[in-house]
Amino acid sequence: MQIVIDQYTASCATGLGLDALSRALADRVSGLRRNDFEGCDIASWIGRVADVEKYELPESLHYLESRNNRLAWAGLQQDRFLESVETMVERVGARRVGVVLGTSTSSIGQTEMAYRQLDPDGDMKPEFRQPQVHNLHSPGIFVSRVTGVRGPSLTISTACSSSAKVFATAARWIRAGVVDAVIAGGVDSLCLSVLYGFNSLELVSEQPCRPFDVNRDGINIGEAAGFALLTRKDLAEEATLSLLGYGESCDAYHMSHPHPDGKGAVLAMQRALHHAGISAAQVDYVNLHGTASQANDQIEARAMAQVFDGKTLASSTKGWTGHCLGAAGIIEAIIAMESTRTGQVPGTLNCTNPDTDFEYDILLENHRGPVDIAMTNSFGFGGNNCSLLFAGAREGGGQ
Amino acid sequence: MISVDVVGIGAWSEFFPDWSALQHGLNGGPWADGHKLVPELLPATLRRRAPQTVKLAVEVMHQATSMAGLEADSVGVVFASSMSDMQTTDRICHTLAEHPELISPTQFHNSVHNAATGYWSIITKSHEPANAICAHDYSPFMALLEAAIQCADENQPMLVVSQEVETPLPFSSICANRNPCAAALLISPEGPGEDALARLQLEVIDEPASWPDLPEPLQSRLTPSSGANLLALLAAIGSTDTKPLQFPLTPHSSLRVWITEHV
Repeated sequence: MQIVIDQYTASCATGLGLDALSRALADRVSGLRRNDFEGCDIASWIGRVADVEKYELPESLHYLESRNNRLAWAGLQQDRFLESVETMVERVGARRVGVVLGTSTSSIGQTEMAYRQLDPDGDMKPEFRQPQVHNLHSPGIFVSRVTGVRGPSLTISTACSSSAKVFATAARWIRAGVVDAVIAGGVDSLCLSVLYGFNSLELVSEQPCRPFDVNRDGINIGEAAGFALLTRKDLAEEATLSLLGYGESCDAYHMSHPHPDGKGAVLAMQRALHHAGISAAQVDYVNLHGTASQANDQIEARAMAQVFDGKTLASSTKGWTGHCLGAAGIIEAIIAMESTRTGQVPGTLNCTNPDTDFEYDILLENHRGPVDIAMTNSFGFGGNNCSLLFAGAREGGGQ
Repeated sequence: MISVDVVGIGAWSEFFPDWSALQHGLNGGPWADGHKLVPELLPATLRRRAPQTVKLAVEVMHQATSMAGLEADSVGVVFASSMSDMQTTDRICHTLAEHPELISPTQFHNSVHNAATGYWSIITKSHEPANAICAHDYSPFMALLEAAIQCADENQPMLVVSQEVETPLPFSSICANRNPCAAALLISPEGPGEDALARLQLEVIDEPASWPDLPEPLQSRLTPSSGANLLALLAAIGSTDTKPLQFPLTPHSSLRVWITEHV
């Protein structure tokens, strides 16, 4: 059964909606800024979404108040995504549309706020007693509530692979006939936990991150919301993009350091190729995890060399977006999908002096050329990996 | 309809250290309280560093795979918890509120929802897919559905783990778990059934359901939680009752479970 992507939208540091992202990628304008996140004085750059605060939730949704849900609310309203969901619901019924979202920290920003002002007994103040917010399913609850879909709803939280894995789960649900369509995606927002947490691991750069550069010295944390509507080909409005395959794996090595030989990364990519029934040579572009940490970039390049022959283009887009953690998977899946649609392949922003020790050549400048099949990699803490493969029809290609 | 075989079961709370003790108690045997959690599979170095969520999960996962006689590195995992690791979250949020720069890097990497599956893969050297999911109160049966779909679709045995830890004070007004509790089911694709403890047939039903009561010896001991709720299914697998069960899956739907072959 062919699983297609009916509609998608992405909001991240480059702005709200796909146009802002595409323009930033084409013009090579980064969305990163000096850290100005309230309550955090870490010297770093961040990928903050500028207007999240302005997206106040309507009164009926106040019980779900959190920065993460405001970001979801802002993201859902871009690119006519809600209209596409509505059309799908009219076609198949609300009970036949499921929700599978990814996040690493959900609405923990709201929990942090509650802890800063606990009552004298050490309990949360009444305004923070939000059972549907202080848990990891908060984005799933929010999106189900806003869209009114009534199918199964869950949130995947496997650190930085979360919103890549949503595609695998969504595809399985549709194939199993449990639903006809799934709103898949990811929402992760800036919060003190991740800013101070990654800082404590000495993984945060004081400068704009430089993926695959010889002088790379860490990540910039970003935030994002992205959504894709997946369905069977016969139910799609214009099915030009399909999910060709996915591969999931574990490193089985260390909680916060990737396997030195890239074993889990290689397995994820190979399983995706096997699942899609294609060879590595058929992949035109890989959007890498490419966080700009010392370990990730070196090991991902090593893993790439074990799977690809060097002709497949590969780049990291984190110089534009920062590392959006649990939302990185969906944003980079969308960048990969867009490359198959437009033939515009982003290079690697901020990488001026690529590390010559790398076993795979990284694309630095933007490239224009046909992309029939694109892959994206997402690797997370706990050694949790996911690779996705998308096939598209080029503009005017008429596939 | 999705059909899978149950080939292993794990269970732990302070009232029962494993599935056979739980079954014994449910069948009228005496209950012993105050069991201590000692996850033997976890090496001492990791045991010191691992939070309770990891210890609970690893223990019941180990029990279930041992019972099935399956190599852990051939099994996929779906881990679920409705409130995840509230204790690590509690420590981190207190630190952030007082001295954010003092956040512990170990606590931070332990705070990911997939910590248990991460530790599990490291100990068992398993490279198989592992998921960590949350559906708030609906977590345990959403995890069962997710694992069953994956089991049938990928033709792979899957571990389903559902667990909760004790609620720390600031969360007590929104969640009231008093008992750390975990349960695991190891399911495999429908087979000849000789080694199966039970066969489960699952179906999503378009009507809400309420949480079934736990059998009485448990009901008065455990606070309701998503860890405890999976025990209702375990109890049914151990009983001779054959009527279909219905568990809440979303506010609007439920998961109907037929247990067609018993232990």
